[in-house]
Amino acid sequence: MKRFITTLFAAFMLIVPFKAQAFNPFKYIHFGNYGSDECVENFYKAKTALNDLLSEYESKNLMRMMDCVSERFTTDKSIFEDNVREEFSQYAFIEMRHYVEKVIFDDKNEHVLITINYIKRVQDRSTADISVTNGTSDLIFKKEDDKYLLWKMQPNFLGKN
Amino acid sequence: MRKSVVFILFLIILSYQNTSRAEKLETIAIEDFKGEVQENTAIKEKTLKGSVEKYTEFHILNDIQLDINDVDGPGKASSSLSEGTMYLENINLYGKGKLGKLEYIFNAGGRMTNDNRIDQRGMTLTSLKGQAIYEDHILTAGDVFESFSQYTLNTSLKGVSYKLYDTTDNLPDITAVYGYAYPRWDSLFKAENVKTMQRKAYGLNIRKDISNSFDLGISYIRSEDDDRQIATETQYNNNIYSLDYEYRPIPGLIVRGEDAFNNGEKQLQEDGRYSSHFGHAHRIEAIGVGGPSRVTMGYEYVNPKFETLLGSAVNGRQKANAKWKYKIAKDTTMDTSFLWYQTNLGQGTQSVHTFRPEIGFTKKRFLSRRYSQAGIDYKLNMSSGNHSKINDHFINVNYRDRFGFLDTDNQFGFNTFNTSKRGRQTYEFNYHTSLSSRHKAGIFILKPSVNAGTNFIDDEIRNSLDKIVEYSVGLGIDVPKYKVNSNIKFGQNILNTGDSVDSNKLFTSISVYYKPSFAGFLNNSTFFLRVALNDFNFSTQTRNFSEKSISMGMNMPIDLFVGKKKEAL
Repeated sequence: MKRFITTLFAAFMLIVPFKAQAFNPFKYIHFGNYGSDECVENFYKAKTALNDLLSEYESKNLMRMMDCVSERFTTDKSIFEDNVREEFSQYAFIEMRHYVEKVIFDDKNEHVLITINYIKRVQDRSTADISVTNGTSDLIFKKEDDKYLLWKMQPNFLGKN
Repeated sequence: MRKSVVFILFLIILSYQNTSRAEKLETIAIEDFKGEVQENTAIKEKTLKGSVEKYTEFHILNDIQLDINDVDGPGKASSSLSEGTMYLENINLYGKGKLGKLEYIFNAGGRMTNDNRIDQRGMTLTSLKGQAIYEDHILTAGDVFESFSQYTLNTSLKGVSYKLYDTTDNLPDITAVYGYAYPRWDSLFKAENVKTMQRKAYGLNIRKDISNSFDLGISYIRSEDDDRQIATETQYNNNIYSLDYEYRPIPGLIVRGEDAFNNGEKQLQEDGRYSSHFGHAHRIEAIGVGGPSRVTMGYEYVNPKFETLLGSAVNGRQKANAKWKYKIAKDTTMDTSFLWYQTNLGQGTQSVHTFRPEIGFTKKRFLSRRYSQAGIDYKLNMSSGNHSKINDHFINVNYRDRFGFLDTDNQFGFNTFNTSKRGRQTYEFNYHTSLSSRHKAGIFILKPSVNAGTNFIDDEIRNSLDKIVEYSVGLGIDVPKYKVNSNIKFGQNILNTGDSVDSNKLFTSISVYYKPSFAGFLNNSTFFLRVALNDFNFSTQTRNFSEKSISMGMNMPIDLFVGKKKEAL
C-alpha cells in the first residue's frame, strides 16, 4: 500500500508540471483560481470589517469605529456609541487581541456570523490598575452597500454595559 | 521497485502522446507549478461561463503560528501573554460542487493550541456545515444560520434546516429549523471544561411577497432548556410568535416593522417552581428618501416580560427616534437626530427617561481644498428618573486633509458629564492626530506615520486632573518586487493620575510579511515574523513588568478544482 501511494505521488509530481493530455489521470485537477471566488471574497470582506472595527476600538477612535456599525444595530447605535464613549473615557489604553473561531454566512450572504475569542487588556485612568479579560463573542455583520457593518453582538464586550 | 519505475515511465510516455486526441477533449489552460500556462486551447462552442456538468472545488486555508513569550517583573500578573512557547493552528476547508442539478457546499474547520487564554481545549472542531441545493430546495446540516426576524431568531444553531425558496414566486418561502444553541461543537459532545446548558430550538418561518410593494413574514420559534450547569441558572421553555412586514407604498418610502408575542415558563433555580410569563414587543420604522433629504422615524416597545433567547430585544424599554440627513449643498451635509427612550418600564420611580438630541455638519472640499473634509457634531444627553438627573454634553470636531505628500486626520473633542447629587462632575478634553505619507525609493515603498493623542479629564468630585498622552512613530517598508511588507513602530503611553499611581508604557513592534513566488500551488502563502516588546513602569515599582513576544508562522491558502470546465471564448 505504501509503495502504491509513493508511486502515485511520484507520478503526480512528474506529470502535472508538464503538458497534461489524454489518459493523464490528473488532467482534471487544476490548482489555481478556477472556481467561483465569491464566497472566499465575502469571507475576506467580513474579516476586514471585523479587523477595522476592532482596530478603531483599540485606537479609541469613536467616530471611525461608529462608521463600522450599522444604523440598524439591534440594541440602538446611539446607545451603543455612548457606552463605548464611557469606556474610552474610563480607560487610559485598550489592547485587543482576537482569534477568529468560525465564519458562517446565511444563504443570501446578507448576514455573516463571526465567532471570535478575544483577550482584552485595559488600564483604569483613575487607579492605573490593569485588568485582563478573555472570552468568546458572536458578532453578526449585515451587508449594506456592499460593505459589512456590525448589526448584533452577543455577548457585548465593547463599551460599558 | 522495478514495477513502480515502469509504471511511472508508462504514465510519462502516455502524457507525451500526439496532441490530436487532447484537442478533441476541450482542455483549458493548464498551469505548471510556477503558474505559467503550458497550454491554452480555444473552445469553439459557446457555453455559459462556469456552466459545468460535474465539478468540485476546494479552498483550504491553513494558519500556523508559533509564539515565544517572556514576561518579567513583579507585576507580571497584569500581562495578557501566556508565558512560554505557544502554538496555534487553524485549518478551514471550504468547498462546493455540482452533480447535474444538485449543488453542494461544505465547510469544516478545526483548531489546535496549547494557549489556555485562546482556548481551554487543545483540539477543537470550530465549524462544520454541509448544504445541498436542488432546484428550489435547500437542506443544511451542521452550523445552521437562519435569520427569521429580529425578535425570534438571528443566531446560529447546531442542527438542520430546510428551505423552500420558490423562484417562480407562486409559493411562499418556507424555512424550518431544528437544532441546539450550543456556543461550540465541544459543548454539544459534552466535552469537559466547556459544558453548557442545553437549549434546544425549533421553528418555522414563512415569507411571501404579497404584492410588488408588500412583503410579509410569519415566524414561530420554541426553545427548551435542560441540563443546567449552575444551580442558580434560569431555565426557560419559551414560544415566540412574530409577524414582520415591509411596505413600499410609493417610490422613496419604506415602512417596516415587527410585532411579536411570547409565552412560556421559567425556573429560576434548580428545584424551583416554574412561573409562567407572557410578553409582547413591537417596532415600526419609516424611511423616506426624496431630493436632498433622507428621513428615518421609528418607535419600539418591548414589554418587561418579553423574553427572546435567540433573537434581539432589550426588555422593559420603549424608544422613539427621528433622524434627518439633509444635503444643504453639493459638498455640505447636515445630520440631525432625536432619540427618546424609557427604561425599567413598569417599575414606578425606578423608570428612567432619556433624551438625546444631536446635530452635526460635514463639509467636503473645506476652504476649497480638494482633499479636505471637516465636520462638527454636538450631542446632548439628558436623563431623569431613579432619583437622579444626568446632563451630559459632547462636542466633536474633525478635520482631514492632504498637504503635498502628507495625509492628516485630526479630531478634537470636549465632553462634560454631570450627574445630580454630586454623582459625577467631569470635564474631558481629547485630541488625536495622525500624519502619514507614502514614498517610492527604487524598489522600496516607504510609509512613515506619526500618531499622537491626549486626554485631559478634570474630575471635580475626586478633585483631580488625569492626563493621558500617547504617541507612536511608525515606518512601513514594502518591496513589491519581492512581495515583502514590513512595519516597525514604537511609542509611549503616559498616564498621570491626579491623586493615584502614575504609569508609563513603552511599546515596540516589528512585523515582516513575505509571499514567496517559488512554491507552485503554494504561491498564495504568506510567511510572517512579528516581534513585540512592552515595558510597563509605575510610580509604585512593585507593579512594574515587561513583555517580549516573538511570533512566526504562515497562512497557506490552497485552491483546487476538480472537473471539466467549459468557458466562453
